[in-house]
Amino acid sequence: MKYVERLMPQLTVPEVPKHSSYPTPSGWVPPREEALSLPYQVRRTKNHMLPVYHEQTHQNRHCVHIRKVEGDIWALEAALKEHLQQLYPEKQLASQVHEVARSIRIKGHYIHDVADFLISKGF
Amino acid sequence: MASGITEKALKLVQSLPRLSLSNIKNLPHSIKKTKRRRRDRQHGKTHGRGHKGQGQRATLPRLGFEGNNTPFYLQIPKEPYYKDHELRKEYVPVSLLQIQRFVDLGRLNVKEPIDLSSLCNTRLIQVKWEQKQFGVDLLDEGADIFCARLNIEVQKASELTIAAIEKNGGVITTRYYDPHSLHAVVNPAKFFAKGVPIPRCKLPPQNEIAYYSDAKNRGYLADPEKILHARVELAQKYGYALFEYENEEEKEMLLTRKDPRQIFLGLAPGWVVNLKDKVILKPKDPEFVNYYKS
Repeated sequence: MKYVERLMPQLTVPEVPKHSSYPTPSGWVPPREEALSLPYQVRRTKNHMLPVYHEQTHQNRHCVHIRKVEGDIWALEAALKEHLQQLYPEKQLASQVHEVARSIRIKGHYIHDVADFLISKGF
Repeated sequence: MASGITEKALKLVQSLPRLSLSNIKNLPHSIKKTKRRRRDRQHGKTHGRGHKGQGQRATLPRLGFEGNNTPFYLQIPKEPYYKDHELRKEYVPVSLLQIQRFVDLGRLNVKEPIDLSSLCNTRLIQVKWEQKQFGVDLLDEGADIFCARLNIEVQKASELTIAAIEKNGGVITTRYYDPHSLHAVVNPAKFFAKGVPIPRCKLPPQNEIAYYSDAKNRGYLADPEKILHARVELAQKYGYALFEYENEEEKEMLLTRKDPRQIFLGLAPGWVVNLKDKVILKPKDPEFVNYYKS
């Protein structure tokens, strides 16, 4: 019967086990407490991942979608645009802030830069 | 209310005449006209068939015939979109990076053998048999960062994937599930709730049996000795030393394998699981026992 119990799924997402060093082999970094004191916060998803997604429509329209933004969403948008402009000075950056859905969309293939920026902030 | 729709509706109901047979109508197409015989002046004489010829004499050729020249439906060439569609199989792609992430985040337990049931129980991977998906294809994205030691059972795996897993001391087997067994494997909780005997897994079809009998793919039907040779060969090819196991328990766990007819580890085909009373019922009739043992 223990084999049957082993086949039963876990009904809730388990807590992340403690690792000796971060980032973990797969590149996962835990969120830091200090990040909550910033004017804006980006919460992790229920699977402990960053809520940053790459959206693509048609063959060459790429967007970065950042969800679960709390606090001053416009300040985060300004910070992100400043950071990306420094990395890519020649590029024009278009962005959308959705205050009700608490999300930001940035046009371009910048998902890794955005993720690195958010992790450096501690989210 | 500005429009006063309710008041208007009530006034209408007050002013309309009483409901009677003279002022109600059937819903459209609710009553079909009965087919009547063609006897009257309009439908008599030729009875809708015209004059002489094949039309009246009921000797018209088949539909699409164009007087013996190649008809339209044969002139246009055919694109065989659905040729061999029943033989096409899909495998859900899962990378080594994803597996490493699941292990890091505690979604997969490395101390137990990992098979398709454990992967689907995380609810992060879905395998749908209705869409001709036959299991999981382990991809080699993340082979450079992979460092988990696990006993994994998938449906397809490339050479680099096998090397990455065996380099860290793990064990990989590739195994086939037929659609009926897959339905049970993918959601064991839902399957046990049905109270149906555990099915006996069928052997792979003709075009897949070669893959699963090959030791290079670590197939479940391959000769275990050949698999040991293949392990040594792969270690030499990719330049790593074969792992030496110290812990006996871990070694035992890594070497556990399912029987080719078995779909759940520790449970034999033919058994019925009673989840409510937490009891397993096993068949006693010799006919059933022999069938499920074969």
